[in-house]
Amino acid sequence: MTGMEGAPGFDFVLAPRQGRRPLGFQGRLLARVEAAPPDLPLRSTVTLHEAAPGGFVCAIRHRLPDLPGAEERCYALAAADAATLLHFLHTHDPLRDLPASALLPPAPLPPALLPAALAEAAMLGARLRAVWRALLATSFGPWPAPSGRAANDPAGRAPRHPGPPEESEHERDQRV
Amino acid sequence: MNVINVYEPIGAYEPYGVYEPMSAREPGPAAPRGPRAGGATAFTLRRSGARPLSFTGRRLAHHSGERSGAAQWHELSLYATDEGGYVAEIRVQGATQGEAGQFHVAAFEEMEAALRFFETHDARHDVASDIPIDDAALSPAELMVHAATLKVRVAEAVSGYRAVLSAFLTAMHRP
Repeated sequence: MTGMEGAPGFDFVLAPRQGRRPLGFQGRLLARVEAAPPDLPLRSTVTLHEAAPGGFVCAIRHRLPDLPGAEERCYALAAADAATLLHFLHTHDPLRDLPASALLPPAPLPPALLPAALAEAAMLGARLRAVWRALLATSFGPWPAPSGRAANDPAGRAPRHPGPPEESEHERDQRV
Repeated sequence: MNVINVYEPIGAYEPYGVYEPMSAREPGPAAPRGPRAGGATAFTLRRSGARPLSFTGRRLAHHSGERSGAAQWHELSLYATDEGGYVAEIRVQGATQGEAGQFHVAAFEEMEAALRFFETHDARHDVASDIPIDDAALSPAELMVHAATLKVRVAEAVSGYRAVLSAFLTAMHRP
């Protein structure tokens, strides 16, 4: 994120987004939390900004420090209410855009070591999701998943593609 | 230094949804147009399946997703021509591309159109299949493994391109 001159108390912030233009706004940092377990190949940071025009911007940044170039996967969302931001955070899957090389040892692997490497990668993936959920729960409190979601997600895994905020009954009526 | 604002402002379009298509946005402010004095360079860009594109101008932005050991990566460049237009270039490089590579190049009158060229690029098409489909000795199990590997490569090409594009667009912002 980059700062530049702006409204008093607010700095210009650029929040990169995977595959899209960054969000640019005058913002004030409210919170920044990070999870960087030394035994995991991913460092995750969540920032929450208050936007000068009103509302909030939540940004997620996953860094892959073990890969050359320190690759990143970044996501951001602007919303007027906390519920939308919590939905954005809790439905985010940190593994969604990770390259397989983030979890696997450098190729080529001897065939004899492949099963163990794949098993280790599977464990890393599960650990990454668990750390992500713990980070959110510790920082933002428990999230009451919308009814029906738990039944479809018994393992507690985040969905691969977080959807837009759910419609309220009023919005559904308007659309119909 | 020209002003280049390629970010999306918040407020005017609130609330932003993560899946709101770019086409729903109004074009943002663009860099100043028109002939530029000094710093011009002659470029000839290779194009896959077409003649090279030659122009005089300067490179506004560049970002490469190259990393050691990667089978494939993308390199993005944006140029401003002396005629006031823009040229967008997407290079697909990597071990699997050999000497050939892929070179997606297009010229535009407006920067907004050039940015959308990058944003709408489908990186799935940049992955070449290496399944030895003509190999009669290939067993169904091997074919399944090859197919699964190709699926992973396609997914990683898309994810990698989106990460490169994110860094490219973020670095392009120059207040």
